[in-house]
Amino acid sequence: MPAHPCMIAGILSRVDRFEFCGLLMISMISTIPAFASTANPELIVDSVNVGQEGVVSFSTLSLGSDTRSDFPEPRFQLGQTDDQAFRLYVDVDSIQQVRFNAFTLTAYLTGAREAEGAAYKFQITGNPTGSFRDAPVRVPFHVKTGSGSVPGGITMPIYNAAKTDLLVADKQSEPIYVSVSGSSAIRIRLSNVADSLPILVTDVAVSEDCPKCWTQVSSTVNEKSPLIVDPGTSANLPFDLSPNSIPALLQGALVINRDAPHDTLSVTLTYHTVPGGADRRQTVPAKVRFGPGLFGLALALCGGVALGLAARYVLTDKFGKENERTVHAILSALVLALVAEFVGVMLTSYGESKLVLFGLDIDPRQLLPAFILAILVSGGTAVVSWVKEFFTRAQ
Amino acid sequence: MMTFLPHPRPWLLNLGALCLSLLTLGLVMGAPERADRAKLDRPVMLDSNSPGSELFVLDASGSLHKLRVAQDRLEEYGRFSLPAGFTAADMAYSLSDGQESLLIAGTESGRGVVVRYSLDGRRMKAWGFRNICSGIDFGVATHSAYVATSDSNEIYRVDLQGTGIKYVTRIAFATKLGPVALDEARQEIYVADVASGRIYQYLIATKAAKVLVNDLSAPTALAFDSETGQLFVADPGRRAILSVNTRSNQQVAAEFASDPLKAPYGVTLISQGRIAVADYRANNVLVFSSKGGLLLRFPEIP
Repeated sequence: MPAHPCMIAGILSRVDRFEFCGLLMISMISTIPAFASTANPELIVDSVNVGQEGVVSFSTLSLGSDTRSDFPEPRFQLGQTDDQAFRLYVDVDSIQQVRFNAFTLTAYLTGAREAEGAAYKFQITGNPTGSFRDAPVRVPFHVKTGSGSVPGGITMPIYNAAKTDLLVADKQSEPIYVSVSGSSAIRIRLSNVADSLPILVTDVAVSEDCPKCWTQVSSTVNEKSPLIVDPGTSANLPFDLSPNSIPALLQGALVINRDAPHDTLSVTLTYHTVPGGADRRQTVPAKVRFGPGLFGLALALCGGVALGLAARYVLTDKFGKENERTVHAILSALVLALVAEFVGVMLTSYGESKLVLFGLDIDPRQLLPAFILAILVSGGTAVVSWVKEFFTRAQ
Repeated sequence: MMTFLPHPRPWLLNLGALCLSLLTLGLVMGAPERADRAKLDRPVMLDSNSPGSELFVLDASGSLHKLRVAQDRLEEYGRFSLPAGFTAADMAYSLSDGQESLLIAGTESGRGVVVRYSLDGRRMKAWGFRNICSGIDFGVATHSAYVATSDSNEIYRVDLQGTGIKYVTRIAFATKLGPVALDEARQEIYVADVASGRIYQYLIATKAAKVLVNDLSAPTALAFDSETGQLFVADPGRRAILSVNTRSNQQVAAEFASDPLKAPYGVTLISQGRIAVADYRANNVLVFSSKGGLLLRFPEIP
């Protein structure tokens, strides 16, 4: 039924009379929580200290009410106010790193009771300072409503792109041994510290000091098949190395000291923390020594034995001891050289022992040292004495 | 007994050789294009030359891509790499004394620095700062660049024809200054606050600063259109490019383009009033019309 103009005029005339009472009633009603929640709540995310290493401050942009009503885990991380009146959901899928070392994420604030329905959407920007690493931390927040301010807290990831090198690579005590005969699988052990976020290695690029020494250097780790390093754990980064035989052997021919690398691989890892961390690059050096492989070692031994016996014959007119048959002497030299090589390899590879020849700490797995070892063993005291005398004269 | 195979006809041999040559030529010519597609990885910032016919895009790996702006496409015609120890924060195209160059503000060995690179990647000059350089824009008329610092919230002026760096101002109420845009005609500097989601306007003549707009999430790039007075803002937090009419009495950030942007990190103006956007997560440069319609993208989706 349409209102009569006189009736409307009558109502309006009474408005002035009841204005004060009306305002009083409204202000009283608004203090009752159920009614107070009709106004958009304001979210304030407080700054948080990350140990002694830095601070993250936050700014919050209200994007108004939203129709979203389901907040399934693990996509949404839940926090709530101390009085349990409000729930705060952080959408981890929305986390993104932005320029100038900041990160943003979307959060939803809802009333704790299902019936309250509406969610309020906020865009939160984190501004880190300091040197802390990406980590999940408890972030305090406040929800301001008409009836006051309620504190709360939520555990959520925070980020700091300024902190580099999140992975720790095991320090190499000695170079990795790579046989030039065929491909070798090696591993680099990577660790992630506890109380941080998991790290996903998504790409591995390798550059070599001696590119011609390699036919292929590859890793199975890539974006589709990443390597996960969980907080407080370690993981092995696998590699397949295929050396280029001749250049690799030449590269290491004169580097006898077993601690000295023949080549150093610079392994550049691309990784990010999950969820939502910024891409980082970290270069890990991998020192490598080339070895000739079993066949090469056998050849070097045989050659050394032949030369040692020949030298012995030249110096003493005999292949062996007095009245020793030639065949026996040759076989003895071969067996002794083989035993010496085997013992040398075992002791230097699996123990703390060193094989020192003429003051040089040599690696018996290398071609030249194996060759020299075989010469000295098969040549016997005559050859060793001659070599010593030669060096003494030379000095 | 020996047998001989019949000799193939000469024309057949010539035809085979021709096919092989064409195939080789096709492979060689096709290779750079495929490499370009694979290489535009996570574009972070961009700027264009004065007429907007060339676009310079810096990606997260430190490769600077030089693109030619055509009517209906972008073509890469060259690139160079920044040194590994230099972290770029913002860049601006500059033309001074007839020399085209790119001014890149950033950090090197933990100190702020502005480096002037020739377009072929040669480091021409560098200016050192005590603070972290976060934003830069260049004024052609004054041959000067305005540089913002994110840790002290200061603005400096670098004269390309002189040697010194002049302190301009400090935005006292800022949290973390980022990109800079210069309105050279009005002598006004716009500088974004990445942490608090604001843009400040600084008037050089009166030395007064005020908040221009504040409803932003994380403004990471600014581009000023001197003809229309529009200030374009890249806001990856809101996943949109916003525009602010600086000539209006009430400045508000209106949405200019949002779809299909994922993480708009950089924005600049190019020829014909078009807007180029560096989308970090989409690994693309997208070009929008002056009305906000998507025109093209680089690399093109096959």
